[in-house]
Amino acid sequence: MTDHEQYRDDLPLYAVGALSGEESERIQRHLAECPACREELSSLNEAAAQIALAVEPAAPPAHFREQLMARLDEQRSPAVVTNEGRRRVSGHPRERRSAWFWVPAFATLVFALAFVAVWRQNRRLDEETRDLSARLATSREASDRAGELIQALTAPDAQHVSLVAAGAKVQPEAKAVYSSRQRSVVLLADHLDPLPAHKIYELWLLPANGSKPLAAGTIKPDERGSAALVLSQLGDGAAAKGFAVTVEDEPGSAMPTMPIVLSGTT
Amino acid sequence: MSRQLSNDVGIVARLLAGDKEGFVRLYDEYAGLIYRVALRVLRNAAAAEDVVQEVFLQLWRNPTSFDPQRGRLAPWLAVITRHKAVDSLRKLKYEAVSSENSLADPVVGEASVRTSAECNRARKLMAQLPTEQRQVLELAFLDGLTHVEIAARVSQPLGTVKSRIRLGLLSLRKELSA
Repeated sequence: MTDHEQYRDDLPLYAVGALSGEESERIQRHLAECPACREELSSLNEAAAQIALAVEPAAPPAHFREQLMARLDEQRSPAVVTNEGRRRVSGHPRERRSAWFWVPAFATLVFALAFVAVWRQNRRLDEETRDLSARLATSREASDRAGELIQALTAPDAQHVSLVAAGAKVQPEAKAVYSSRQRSVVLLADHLDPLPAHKIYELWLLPANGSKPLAAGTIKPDERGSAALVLSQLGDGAAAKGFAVTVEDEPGSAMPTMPIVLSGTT
Repeated sequence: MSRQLSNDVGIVARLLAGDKEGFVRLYDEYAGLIYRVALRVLRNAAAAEDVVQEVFLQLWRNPTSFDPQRGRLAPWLAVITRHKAVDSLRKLKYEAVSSENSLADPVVGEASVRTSAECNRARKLMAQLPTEQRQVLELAFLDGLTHVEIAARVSQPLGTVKSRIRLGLLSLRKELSA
């Protein structure tokens, strides 16, 4: 049996969550590069959903509804929150109220357009096998792992240690990990020079198609010169040919200011 | 556009616009489903309520986490509820309490005709499975057990458990598309 056949054979077990963590990770790696198995999993996930849908009726207590509605008032409006993809681990939030003012209206407009698109595709959609659960199942565990990793990397007590050739002088350095599919980047920087007041380091994504650099978040190093940045919903998922870091005025710039302090290509 | 798809799109559109009334409709339509899946997994009313709250607040904060183009809302909610409940079960190492006292409000009918039809069909599909296949599927999906744990629980060889899971799920899929 080939690896592919073995993985395919295990997909039903994966769909109902019966595999161990290690086995699930192996399947997820295979799924990432096998469209046929992703499609298979999609239909299996829909079948698995029937197990949950078949659970015997029960209803939450009557008072729970009011409690939940009260919690809504403590939450921010969804349209604003959906734009909170940027999470600054260090550095200062940038004020963007003027642009964000239009976000709820824009989001509604975008959704209205999407609604029309959905309507036009209704026949195809009605016949299409639904694979949302598949994506959810595969991405959920990956997301959990990523969350743990990010927590470890950005913990206040995390110690960043750079290993260099014995005797070599330590230089400013940074490591960027970027996923165009996830539209997210993680940056870990060490030995950055201290900055004057009102200055900040800014990360730039250099698109592979040669278009202008894309601002990818700002960082301010701690007293040891270390900084970390986690940024999601970056750009439109374009491929990157590299990243660069420049020094900018706070709270950050729309275009990079020379010189480039750090740079690297993918 | 099918009525169900239209309904799902409408709900998400209203949430996206921050419409609380839309949220109330969503709650009335799906709270029963979400609660009973969470309750079945966790076997504890308070823990199930936490999961229900988590699912609804996630949808309120980020309605686009559900994409109507990629599936219907009911199965999607059932699956994410199951995942959150199993996570909760594993994280808290919750001791399943099977006493009836913990199953508060073991009530009631389905919240809506739509959800009811979808759930009734699922029950019919599950009822058609051989008992041993249904058992292993429920132990995996609703009790959060791995195939190794299931084998120990039902005192069957690992290979037998795997086969039953495969056969059971493939039968469900076949019947679902019939």
